[in-house]
Amino acid sequence: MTKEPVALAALSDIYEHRYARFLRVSEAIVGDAEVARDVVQEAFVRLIRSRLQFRGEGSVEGWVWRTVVNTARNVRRDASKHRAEDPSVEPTATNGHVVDAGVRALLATLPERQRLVLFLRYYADLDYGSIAEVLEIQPGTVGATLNQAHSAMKRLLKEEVPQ
Amino acid sequence: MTDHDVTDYDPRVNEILERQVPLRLDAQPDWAGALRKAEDGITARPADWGSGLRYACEADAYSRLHSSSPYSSSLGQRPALVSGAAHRRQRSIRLRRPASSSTH
Repeated sequence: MTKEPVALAALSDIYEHRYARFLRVSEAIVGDAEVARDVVQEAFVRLIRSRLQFRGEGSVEGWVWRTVVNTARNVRRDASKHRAEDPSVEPTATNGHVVDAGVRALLATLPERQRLVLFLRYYADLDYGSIAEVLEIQPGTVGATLNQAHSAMKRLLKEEVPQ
Repeated sequence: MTDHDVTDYDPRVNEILERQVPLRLDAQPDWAGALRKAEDGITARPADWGSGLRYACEADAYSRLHSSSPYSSSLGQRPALVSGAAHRRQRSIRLRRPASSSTH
């Protein structure tokens, strides 16, 4: 018996159980719920096609998260180029939900690594080790980056949530 | 999750991020669609590609056509668990039906 059917079943399990979180992180990165759905589907199409090339370095779930995040990052990057060429195309982050423009603006100013660590920590609920695996950085770097992101968020917290 | 992680989890940050992107628990996953798209884009398949994926797609289509099938409840979620034997059984059922209707 080959490992191939097991790998496909593992992908299916992760997809079914983590789908809402994949969607959430993707939406946070690309800023659009519908695009986020396409991102998740596209990521899993890639994962299915490339599953035989998985070398077993790290966990399957870490590999899956990394593919989803990188697919979303690529889509965001392409969209940014498109917006630069056509300023009339604006991101549609609302999708019927109330979105705090101040928060969005602040998040947009954060370095990409800080944004991703925040999204993976709060939206995906991943621990430091898992985040490190997904972003291919050291666990200690995750903590430091998260602290930096928290510091940046404090400015907004003072304005948005007066204590 | 470690104690260190919990310490660095800021509920106020969580509250603000929560407003940004809600968790969409009602979102419907489409594993079968991802499988179909993955197969559609492949021109040169590895030797073992068809052993699980093609069976899974055919079985999924079968389950949608025959909702009373004993396979219908789980195939869409766990297509890789469709064994070759199960596939052959489904295939034989499909092939037998037109033959039996034409003999009567």
